[in-house]
Amino acid sequence: MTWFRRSAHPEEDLSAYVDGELGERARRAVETHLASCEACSTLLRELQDAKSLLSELPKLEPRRSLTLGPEHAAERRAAPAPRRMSFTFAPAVALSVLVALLFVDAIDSGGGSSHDQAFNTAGSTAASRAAEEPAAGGGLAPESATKDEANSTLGAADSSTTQDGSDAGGAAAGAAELAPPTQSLESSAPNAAASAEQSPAEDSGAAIPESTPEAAEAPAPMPSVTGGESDDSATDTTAAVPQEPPRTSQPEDANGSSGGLSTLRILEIIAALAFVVSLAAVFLPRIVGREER
Amino acid sequence: VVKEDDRIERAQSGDLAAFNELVVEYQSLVCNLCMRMLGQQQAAEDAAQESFINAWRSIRNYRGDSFRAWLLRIAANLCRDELRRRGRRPSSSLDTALEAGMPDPPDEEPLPEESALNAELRGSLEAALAGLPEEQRTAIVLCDVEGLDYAEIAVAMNTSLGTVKSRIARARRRMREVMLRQPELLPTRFRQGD
Repeated sequence: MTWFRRSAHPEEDLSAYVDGELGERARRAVETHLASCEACSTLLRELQDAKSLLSELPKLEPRRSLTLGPEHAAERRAAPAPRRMSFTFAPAVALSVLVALLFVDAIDSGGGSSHDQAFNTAGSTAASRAAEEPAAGGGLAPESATKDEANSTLGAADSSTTQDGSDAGGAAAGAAELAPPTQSLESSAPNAAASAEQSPAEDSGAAIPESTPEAAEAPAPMPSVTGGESDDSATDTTAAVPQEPPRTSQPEDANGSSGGLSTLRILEIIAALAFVVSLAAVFLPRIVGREER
Repeated sequence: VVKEDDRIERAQSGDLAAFNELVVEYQSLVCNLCMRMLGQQQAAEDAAQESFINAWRSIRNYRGDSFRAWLLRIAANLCRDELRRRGRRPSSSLDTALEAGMPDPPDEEPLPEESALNAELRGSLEAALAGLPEEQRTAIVLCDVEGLDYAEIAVAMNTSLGTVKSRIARARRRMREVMLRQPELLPTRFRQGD
Protein backbone atom coordinates (compact mmCIF):
# COMPACT_ATOMS: atom_id res chain seq x y z
CA MET A 1 0.00 0.00 0.00
CA THR A 2 2.97 2.30 -0.27
CA TRP A 3 1.64 3.81 -3.50
CA PHE A 4 -1.42 4.89 -1.62
CA ARG A 5 0.57 7.17 0.65
CA ARG A 6 2.57 8.54 -2.24
CA SER A 7 -0.37 9.48 -4.33
CA ALA A 8 -3.94 9.88 -3.21
CA HIS A 9 -5.42 9.39 -6.69
CA PRO A 10 -3.30 6.96 -8.61
CA GLU A 11 -4.34 7.76 -12.15
CA GLU A 12 -1.51 5.81 -13.75
CA ASP A 13 -2.45 2.72 -11.78
CA LEU A 14 -6.09 3.26 -12.70
CA SER A 15 -5.15 3.19 -16.37
CA ALA A 16 -3.19 -0.04 -15.90
CA TYR A 17 -6.11 -1.37 -13.87
CA VAL A 18 -8.39 -0.76 -16.85
CA ASP A 19 -6.02 -2.88 -18.91
CA GLY A 20 -5.86 -5.60 -16.27
CA GLU A 21 -2.13 -5.07 -16.05
CA LEU A 22 -1.66 -4.48 -12.33
CA GLY A 23 0.00 -6.98 -10.07
CA GLU A 24 -2.03 -8.57 -7.33
CA ARG A 25 -1.03 -6.14 -4.58
CA ALA A 26 -1.43 -3.00 -6.63
CA ARG A 27 -4.76 -4.19 -7.93
CA ARG A 28 -6.10 -4.72 -4.43
CA ALA A 29 -4.81 -1.33 -3.37
CA VAL A 30 -6.60 0.35 -6.27
CA GLU A 31 -9.80 -1.46 -5.47
CA THR A 32 -9.57 -0.39 -1.84
CA HIS A 33 -9.06 3.18 -2.93
CA LEU A 34 -11.91 3.05 -5.42
CA ALA A 35 -14.30 1.90 -2.75
CA SER A 36 -13.81 5.10 -0.84
CA CYS A 37 -13.13 7.62 -3.60
CA GLU A 38 -15.98 8.82 -5.74
CA ALA A 39 -13.72 10.90 -7.98
CA CYS A 40 -11.54 7.92 -8.86
CA SER A 41 -14.56 5.75 -9.52
CA THR A 42 -15.78 8.30 -12.03
CA LEU A 43 -12.33 8.57 -13.52
CA LEU A 44 -12.10 4.80 -13.83
CA ARG A 45 -15.35 4.69 -15.74
CA GLU A 46 -14.20 7.42 -18.06
CA LEU A 47 -10.92 5.69 -18.71
CA GLN A 48 -12.77 2.49 -19.48
CA ASP A 49 -14.99 4.40 -21.89
CA ALA A 50 -11.98 5.94 -23.60
CA LYS A 51 -10.44 2.51 -24.06
CA SER A 52 -13.65 1.07 -25.36
CA LEU A 53 -14.15 3.94 -27.82
CA LEU A 54 -10.67 3.48 -29.23
CA SER A 55 -11.19 -0.23 -29.65
CA GLU A 56 -14.24 0.56 -31.75
CA LEU A 57 -12.40 2.67 -34.27
CA PRO A 58 -12.79 1.09 -37.69
CA LYS A 59 -10.08 -1.36 -38.67
CA LEU A 60 -8.29 -0.89 -41.91
CA GLU A 61 -8.14 -3.85 -44.23
CA PRO A 62 -5.39 -3.49 -46.82
CA ARG A 63 -6.82 -3.08 -50.28
CA ARG A 64 -4.26 -5.47 -51.69
CA SER A 65 -2.66 -8.59 -50.39
CA LEU A 66 0.71 -7.94 -48.81
CA THR A 67 2.08 -11.43 -49.40
CA LEU A 68 5.55 -11.50 -50.87
CA GLY A 69 6.14 -12.62 -54.42
CA PRO A 70 8.76 -15.14 -55.52
CA GLU A 71 11.15 -12.29 -56.30
CA HIS A 72 11.70 -11.95 -52.57
CA ALA A 73 12.50 -15.62 -52.04
CA ALA A 74 16.24 -15.10 -52.29
CA GLU A 75 16.33 -11.95 -50.20
CA ARG A 76 17.65 -13.03 -46.87
CA ARG A 77 20.14 -11.36 -44.68
CA ALA A 78 21.62 -11.82 -41.27
CA ALA A 79 20.77 -8.48 -39.79
CA PRO A 80 19.50 -5.16 -41.05
CA ALA A 81 22.38 -2.79 -41.60
CA PRO A 82 22.28 0.75 -40.27
CA ARG A 83 22.01 2.98 -43.30
CA ARG A 84 23.07 6.47 -42.41
CA MET A 85 25.78 5.96 -39.88
CA SER A 86 28.65 6.73 -42.19
CA PHE A 87 27.20 10.06 -43.12
CA THR A 88 26.40 11.36 -39.67
CA PHE A 89 30.00 12.14 -38.88
CA ALA A 90 30.82 13.72 -42.24
CA PRO A 91 30.41 17.34 -41.08
CA ALA A 92 32.73 16.83 -38.13
CA VAL A 93 35.30 15.08 -40.30
CA ALA A 94 35.11 17.76 -42.99
CA LEU A 95 35.42 20.51 -40.40
CA SER A 96 38.48 18.94 -38.80
CA VAL A 97 40.07 18.53 -42.24
CA LEU A 98 39.37 22.18 -42.93
CA VAL A 99 40.90 23.25 -39.64
CA ALA A 100 43.94 21.07 -40.31
CA LEU A 101 44.35 22.58 -43.76
CA LEU A 102 44.02 26.12 -42.44
CA PHE A 103 46.61 25.26 -39.84
CA VAL A 104 49.03 23.98 -42.47
CA ASP A 105 48.25 27.04 -44.56
CA ALA A 106 48.99 29.34 -41.62
CA ILE A 107 52.36 27.69 -41.06
CA ASP A 108 53.13 27.78 -44.77
CA SER A 109 52.25 31.42 -45.28
CA GLY A 110 54.36 32.44 -42.31
CA GLY A 111 56.94 33.38 -44.97
CA GLY A 112 54.24 33.98 -47.53
CA SER A 113 54.98 36.34 -50.42
CA SER A 114 52.82 38.77 -52.33
CA HIS A 115 53.07 36.30 -55.17
CA ASP A 116 51.01 33.86 -53.16
CA GLN A 117 48.40 36.47 -52.45
CA ALA A 118 48.08 37.29 -56.11
CA PHE A 119 47.11 33.77 -56.86
CA ASN A 120 44.45 33.57 -54.24
CA THR A 121 41.78 35.00 -56.45
CA ALA A 122 42.64 32.76 -59.33
CA GLY A 123 42.75 29.86 -56.97
CA SER A 124 39.31 30.51 -55.60
CA THR A 125 37.86 30.95 -59.06
CA ALA A 126 39.20 27.61 -59.98
CA ALA A 127 38.01 26.12 -56.78
CA SER A 128 34.49 27.32 -57.21
CA ARG A 129 34.56 25.82 -60.68
CA ALA A 130 36.12 22.67 -59.45
CA ALA A 131 33.48 22.46 -56.79
CA GLU A 132 30.81 22.48 -59.44
CA GLU A 133 32.43 19.78 -61.47
CA PRO A 134 33.54 17.03 -59.13
CA ALA A 135 31.05 17.81 -56.45
CA ALA A 136 30.81 14.26 -55.20
CA GLY A 137 34.42 14.47 -54.30
CA GLY A 138 34.03 18.05 -53.26
CA GLY A 139 31.43 16.97 -50.82
CA LEU A 140 33.29 14.17 -49.22
CA ALA A 141 36.63 13.35 -50.68
CA PRO A 142 38.91 15.37 -48.40
CA GLU A 143 38.05 13.32 -45.37
CA SER A 144 39.45 10.23 -47.02
CA ALA A 145 42.60 12.13 -47.84
CA THR A 146 43.51 12.31 -44.19
CA LYS A 147 41.16 9.95 -42.39
CA ASP A 148 41.54 6.26 -42.89
CA GLU A 149 38.18 5.49 -41.43
CA ALA A 150 36.44 7.31 -44.25
CA ASN A 151 33.97 5.43 -46.31
CA SER A 152 35.50 3.50 -49.19
CA THR A 153 32.98 4.61 -51.82
CA LEU A 154 33.73 8.18 -50.98
CA GLY A 155 37.40 7.48 -50.96
CA ALA A 156 37.19 6.27 -54.52
CA ALA A 157 36.25 9.75 -55.65
CA ASP A 158 39.16 11.27 -53.82
CA SER A 159 42.11 10.93 -56.14
CA SER A 160 40.18 11.92 -59.22
CA THR A 161 38.76 14.94 -57.45
CA THR A 162 42.08 16.23 -56.31
CA GLN A 163 43.31 15.68 -59.80
CA ASP A 164 40.40 17.56 -61.29
CA GLY A 165 40.75 20.27 -58.75
CA SER A 166 44.36 20.99 -59.49
CA ASP A 167 43.87 20.66 -63.22
CA ALA A 168 41.00 23.09 -63.21
CA GLY A 169 42.98 25.30 -60.90
CA GLY A 170 45.88 25.31 -63.25
CA ALA A 171 43.68 25.88 -66.23
CA ALA A 172 41.89 28.78 -64.64
CA ALA A 173 45.11 30.29 -63.41
CA GLY A 174 46.42 30.00 -66.94
CA ALA A 175 43.30 31.65 -68.23
CA ALA A 176 43.76 34.50 -65.84
CA GLU A 177 47.26 35.10 -67.12
CA LEU A 178 46.70 34.58 -70.81
CA ALA A 179 43.38 36.30 -71.23
CA PRO A 180 43.51 39.75 -69.64
CA PRO A 181 40.09 40.90 -70.94
CA THR A 182 38.31 38.21 -68.99
CA GLN A 183 40.45 38.66 -65.95
CA SER A 184 38.45 41.47 -64.45
CA LEU A 185 35.32 39.50 -65.00
CA GLU A 186 36.87 36.44 -63.43
CA SER A 187 38.29 38.19 -60.44
CA SER A 188 34.99 39.77 -59.59
CA ALA A 189 33.18 36.52 -60.05
CA PRO A 190 34.92 34.58 -57.31
CA ASN A 191 33.99 37.14 -54.71
CA ALA A 192 30.37 36.79 -55.54
CA ALA A 193 30.71 33.07 -55.77
CA ALA A 194 32.66 32.86 -52.57
CA SER A 195 30.19 34.95 -50.64
CA ALA A 196 27.40 32.92 -52.07
CA GLU A 197 29.13 29.82 -50.87
CA GLN A 198 29.29 31.17 -47.37
CA SER A 199 25.60 31.87 -47.25
CA PRO A 200 24.15 28.39 -47.66
CA ALA A 201 24.95 27.83 -44.02
CA GLU A 202 22.25 30.31 -43.10
CA ASP A 203 19.78 30.24 -45.93
CA SER A 204 20.35 26.66 -46.98
CA GLY A 205 16.85 25.91 -45.79
CA ALA A 206 15.50 27.89 -48.67
CA ALA A 207 18.26 27.21 -51.14
CA ILE A 208 18.34 23.45 -50.95
CA PRO A 209 15.27 21.66 -52.15
CA GLU A 210 14.24 18.03 -51.96
CA SER A 211 17.34 16.80 -53.65
CA THR A 212 19.48 16.96 -50.56
CA PRO A 213 17.92 14.12 -48.57
CA GLU A 214 18.75 11.84 -51.47
CA ALA A 215 22.32 12.87 -51.10
CA ALA A 216 22.25 11.53 -47.60
CA GLU A 217 21.34 8.14 -48.93
CA ALA A 218 23.47 8.07 -52.06
CA PRO A 219 26.70 10.02 -52.01
CA ALA A 220 27.34 9.30 -55.69
CA PRO A 221 24.74 11.62 -57.30
CA MET A 222 26.00 14.60 -55.32
CA PRO A 223 27.30 16.59 -58.27
CA SER A 224 23.88 17.76 -59.32
CA VAL A 225 22.99 18.50 -55.74
CA THR A 226 25.98 20.68 -55.09
CA GLY A 227 25.56 22.42 -58.40
CA GLY A 228 22.10 23.50 -57.46
CA GLU A 229 23.02 23.95 -53.88
CA SER A 230 25.83 26.46 -54.02
CA ASP A 231 23.06 28.94 -54.46
CA ASP A 232 21.43 30.35 -57.55
CA SER A 233 23.43 33.51 -57.47
CA ALA A 234 26.64 31.52 -57.52
CA THR A 235 25.51 29.54 -60.51
CA ASP A 236 24.35 32.65 -62.30
CA THR A 237 27.58 34.48 -61.69
CA THR A 238 29.73 31.70 -62.96
CA ALA A 239 27.38 31.18 -65.86
CA ALA A 240 28.21 34.70 -67.02
CA VAL A 241 31.85 33.72 -67.11
CA PRO A 242 32.85 31.58 -70.10
CA GLN A 243 31.82 28.09 -69.07
CA GLU A 244 34.84 26.19 -70.31
CA PRO A 245 38.17 27.47 -69.15
CA PRO A 246 40.69 27.25 -71.97
CA ARG A 247 42.24 24.02 -70.83
CA THR A 248 44.61 23.99 -73.78
CA SER A 249 46.55 26.91 -72.40
CA GLN A 250 49.48 25.11 -70.81
CA PRO A 251 48.06 23.91 -67.53
CA GLU A 252 51.40 22.40 -66.45
CA ASP A 253 53.10 25.75 -66.67
CA ALA A 254 50.40 27.45 -64.67
CA ASN A 255 50.46 24.65 -62.18
CA GLY A 256 54.13 25.08 -61.71
CA SER A 257 53.91 28.80 -61.05
CA SER A 258 51.01 28.64 -58.63
CA GLY A 259 52.76 25.79 -56.82
CA GLY A 260 51.46 23.78 -53.88
CA LEU A 261 49.81 26.68 -52.17
CA SER A 262 46.89 27.09 -54.53
CA THR A 263 46.31 23.37 -54.34
CA LEU A 264 46.13 23.87 -50.62
CA ARG A 265 43.63 26.66 -51.11
CA ILE A 266 41.55 24.47 -53.34
CA LEU A 267 41.60 21.73 -50.77
CA GLU A 268 40.57 24.22 -48.11
CA ILE A 269 37.63 25.41 -50.13
CA ILE A 270 36.66 21.88 -50.99
CA ALA A 271 36.80 21.02 -47.32
CA ALA A 272 34.69 24.06 -46.49
CA LEU A 273 32.17 23.06 -49.12
CA ALA A 274 32.24 19.51 -47.86
CA PHE A 275 31.46 20.80 -44.40
CA VAL A 276 28.52 22.90 -45.56
CA VAL A 277 27.15 20.23 -47.88
CA SER A 278 27.47 17.39 -45.44
CA LEU A 279 26.03 19.49 -42.65
CA ALA A 280 23.10 20.31 -44.87
CA ALA A 281 22.72 16.71 -45.95
CA VAL A 282 22.66 15.50 -42.39
CA PHE A 283 20.47 18.15 -40.84
CA LEU A 284 18.20 19.32 -43.60
CA PRO A 285 16.09 16.19 -43.72
CA ARG A 286 15.25 16.90 -40.10
CA ILE A 287 14.45 20.55 -40.70
CA VAL A 288 12.86 20.79 -44.10
CA GLY A 289 9.75 18.80 -44.77
CA ARG A 290 10.19 16.13 -47.36
CA GLU A 291 7.34 15.21 -49.60
CA GLU A 292 7.36 11.58 -50.43
CA ARG A 293 6.25 10.29 -53.77
CA VAL B 1 0.07 -21.17 -31.50
CA VAL B 2 1.60 -24.50 -32.39
CA LYS B 3 0.63 -23.87 -35.97
CA GLU B 4 2.17 -20.41 -35.85
CA ASP B 5 5.41 -21.72 -34.36
CA ASP B 6 5.55 -24.26 -37.13
CA ARG B 7 5.04 -21.60 -39.79
CA ILE B 8 7.71 -19.42 -38.24
CA GLU B 9 10.13 -22.31 -38.16
CA ARG B 10 9.49 -23.13 -41.78
CA ALA B 11 9.79 -19.49 -42.74
CA GLN B 12 13.09 -19.32 -40.89
CA SER B 13 14.38 -22.19 -42.96
CA GLY B 14 13.46 -20.33 -46.14
CA ASP B 15 9.89 -21.37 -46.87
CA LEU B 16 8.30 -18.28 -48.40
CA ALA B 17 4.86 -19.88 -48.61
CA ALA B 18 4.89 -20.46 -44.86
CA PHE B 19 5.88 -16.86 -44.34
CA ASN B 20 3.07 -15.68 -46.57
CA GLU B 21 0.60 -17.53 -44.37
CA LEU B 22 1.88 -15.39 -41.52
CA VAL B 23 1.50 -12.30 -43.70
CA VAL B 24 -2.13 -13.11 -44.40
CA GLU B 25 -2.75 -13.58 -40.73
CA TYR B 26 -1.12 -10.36 -39.61
CA GLN B 27 -1.46 -7.94 -42.51
CA SER B 28 -4.49 -6.17 -41.13
CA LEU B 29 -2.86 -5.82 -37.70
CA VAL B 30 0.28 -4.33 -39.22
CA CYS B 31 -1.69 -2.17 -41.61
CA ASN B 32 -3.80 -0.74 -38.79
CA LEU B 33 -0.79 0.30 -36.78
CA CYS B 34 0.74 1.97 -39.85
CA MET B 35 -2.56 3.64 -40.59
CA ARG B 36 -2.84 5.13 -37.11
CA MET B 37 0.79 6.20 -37.21
CA LEU B 38 0.93 7.65 -40.71
CA GLY B 39 -2.64 8.74 -41.26
CA GLN B 40 -2.95 7.84 -44.93
CA GLN B 41 -4.01 4.54 -46.35
CA GLN B 42 -1.58 4.44 -49.23
CA ALA B 43 1.38 5.29 -47.01
CA ALA B 44 0.14 2.77 -44.44
CA GLU B 45 -0.06 -0.04 -46.98
CA ASP B 46 3.37 0.79 -48.31
CA ALA B 47 4.85 0.80 -44.83
CA ALA B 48 3.10 -2.46 -44.00
CA GLN B 49 4.43 -4.04 -47.17
CA GLU B 50 7.93 -2.89 -46.35
CA SER B 51 7.54 -4.22 -42.82
CA PHE B 52 6.81 -7.69 -44.15
CA ILE B 53 9.72 -7.53 -46.55
CA ASN B 54 12.02 -6.54 -43.69
CA ALA B 55 10.52 -9.22 -41.50
CA TRP B 56 11.15 -11.86 -44.15
CA ARG B 57 14.72 -10.73 -44.57
CA SER B 58 15.48 -10.91 -40.89
CA ILE B 59 13.16 -13.65 -39.73
CA ARG B 60 16.10 -15.84 -38.79
CA ASN B 61 16.83 -13.32 -36.05
CA TYR B 62 13.42 -13.81 -34.47
CA ARG B 63 13.77 -15.49 -31.10
CA GLY B 64 10.87 -14.08 -29.16
CA ASP B 65 7.71 -15.31 -27.54
CA SER B 66 5.43 -13.02 -29.46
CA PHE B 67 5.71 -12.98 -33.21
CA ARG B 68 3.15 -10.21 -33.61
CA ALA B 69 5.05 -8.01 -31.16
CA TRP B 70 8.24 -8.59 -33.15
CA LEU B 71 6.42 -7.82 -36.38
CA LEU B 72 4.80 -4.69 -34.99
CA ARG B 73 8.14 -3.53 -33.73
CA ILE B 74 9.47 -3.61 -37.28
CA ALA B 75 6.40 -1.72 -38.46
CA ALA B 76 6.57 0.84 -35.63
CA ASN B 77 10.23 1.54 -36.42
CA LEU B 78 9.44 2.00 -40.08
CA CYS B 79 6.61 4.37 -39.29
CA ARG B 80 8.80 6.36 -36.94
CA ASP B 81 11.49 6.64 -39.60
CA GLU B 82 8.91 7.67 -42.14
CA LEU B 83 7.54 10.39 -39.86
CA ARG B 84 11.04 11.69 -39.20
CA ARG B 85 11.80 11.62 -42.87
CA ARG B 86 8.76 13.70 -43.53
CA GLY B 87 10.37 16.21 -41.21
CA ARG B 88 7.12 17.03 -39.63
CA ARG B 89 5.39 15.12 -36.96
CA PRO B 90 1.69 14.71 -37.40
CA SER B 91 1.91 13.65 -33.80
CA SER B 92 3.40 16.86 -32.51
CA SER B 93 0.37 19.04 -32.84
CA LEU B 94 -3.24 18.66 -33.61
CA ASP B 95 -3.09 21.37 -36.24
CA THR B 96 -0.48 19.70 -38.37
CA ALA B 97 -2.32 16.43 -38.05
CA LEU B 98 -5.46 18.05 -39.31
CA GLU B 99 -3.54 19.81 -42.03
CA ALA B 100 -2.01 16.53 -43.11
CA GLY B 101 -5.55 15.33 -43.67
CA MET B 102 -7.08 12.45 -41.90
CA PRO B 103 -7.88 9.36 -43.90
CA ASP B 104 -11.15 8.92 -45.68
CA PRO B 105 -13.39 6.38 -44.04
CA PRO B 106 -12.78 2.93 -45.50
CA ASP B 107 -15.18 1.89 -48.24
CA GLU B 108 -15.97 -1.45 -46.65
CA GLU B 109 -19.29 -1.87 -44.93
CA PRO B 110 -18.97 -0.96 -41.26
CA LEU B 111 -18.81 -3.71 -38.70
CA PRO B 112 -21.89 -3.92 -36.46
CA GLU B 113 -20.31 -2.23 -33.44
CA GLU B 114 -18.93 0.58 -35.52
CA SER B 115 -22.36 2.00 -36.06
CA ALA B 116 -22.07 3.06 -32.43
CA LEU B 117 -19.47 5.64 -33.39
CA ASN B 118 -20.84 8.38 -35.54
CA ALA B 119 -18.57 9.98 -38.06
CA GLU B 120 -18.08 13.13 -36.01
CA LEU B 121 -17.01 11.32 -32.88
CA ARG B 122 -14.75 9.06 -34.86
CA GLY B 123 -13.19 12.06 -36.55
CA SER B 124 -12.46 13.78 -33.27
CA LEU B 125 -11.04 10.58 -31.75
CA GLU B 126 -8.79 10.08 -34.75
CA ALA B 127 -7.67 13.67 -34.64
CA ALA B 128 -6.93 13.40 -30.93
CA LEU B 129 -5.00 10.22 -31.54
CA ALA B 130 -3.05 11.86 -34.34
CA GLY B 131 -2.29 14.77 -32.03
CA LEU B 132 -0.59 12.60 -29.41
CA PRO B 133 3.19 12.49 -29.21
CA GLU B 134 4.41 9.64 -31.38
CA GLU B 135 5.45 7.34 -28.53
CA GLN B 136 2.20 7.74 -26.62
CA ARG B 137 0.26 7.18 -29.79
CA THR B 138 2.16 4.01 -30.63
CA ALA B 139 1.60 2.69 -27.12
CA ILE B 140 -2.12 3.35 -26.95
CA VAL B 141 -2.76 2.13 -30.48
CA LEU B 142 -0.94 -1.12 -29.72
CA CYS B 143 -2.94 -1.44 -26.52
CA ASP B 144 -6.47 -0.31 -27.33
CA VAL B 145 -6.68 -0.70 -31.10
CA GLU B 146 -4.41 -3.70 -31.64
CA GLY B 147 -5.10 -5.45 -28.35
CA LEU B 148 -1.54 -6.22 -27.25
CA ASP B 149 -0.71 -6.65 -23.59
CA TYR B 150 1.90 -4.51 -21.86
CA ALA B 151 4.64 -7.11 -22.18
CA GLU B 152 4.12 -7.31 -25.93
CA ILE B 153 4.00 -3.53 -26.23
CA ALA B 154 7.27 -3.33 -24.32
CA VAL B 155 8.80 -5.69 -26.89
CA ALA B 156 7.26 -3.82 -29.82
CA MET B 157 8.49 -0.48 -28.54
CA ASN B 158 11.78 -1.76 -27.19
CA THR B 159 11.20 -0.26 -23.79
CA SER B 160 10.31 -1.17 -20.22
CA LEU B 161 6.96 -2.15 -18.77
CA GLY B 162 6.99 0.97 -16.59
CA THR B 163 7.45 3.21 -19.60
CA VAL B 164 4.65 1.44 -21.44
CA LYS B 165 2.38 1.90 -18.45
CA SER B 166 3.04 5.62 -18.15
CA ARG B 167 2.78 6.29 -21.89
CA ILE B 168 -0.58 4.57 -22.04
CA ALA B 169 -1.81 6.39 -18.94
CA ARG B 170 -0.88 9.79 -20.41
CA ALA B 171 -2.37 8.98 -23.80
CA ARG B 172 -5.55 7.69 -22.25
CA ARG B 173 -5.89 10.77 -20.10
CA ARG B 174 -5.77 12.86 -23.25
CA MET B 175 -8.32 10.68 -25.02
CA ARG B 176 -10.58 10.95 -22.01
CA GLU B 177 -10.40 14.74 -22.14
CA VAL B 178 -11.40 14.72 -25.79
CA MET B 179 -14.25 12.39 -25.01
CA LEU B 180 -15.51 14.58 -22.15
CA ARG B 181 -15.44 17.69 -24.30
CA GLN B 182 -18.09 16.23 -26.58
CA PRO B 183 -20.50 14.30 -24.39
CA GLU B 184 -23.27 14.84 -26.89
CA LEU B 185 -21.40 12.71 -29.44
CA LEU B 186 -21.01 9.72 -27.18
CA PRO B 187 -23.21 6.69 -27.70
CA THR B 188 -25.90 6.53 -25.07
CA ARG B 189 -24.31 3.62 -23.26
CA PHE B 190 -21.38 5.92 -22.40
CA ARG B 191 -23.64 8.56 -20.94
CA GLN B 192 -25.10 6.70 -18.00
CA GLY B 193 -23.08 8.79 -15.57
CA ASP B 194 -24.60 12.10 -16.72
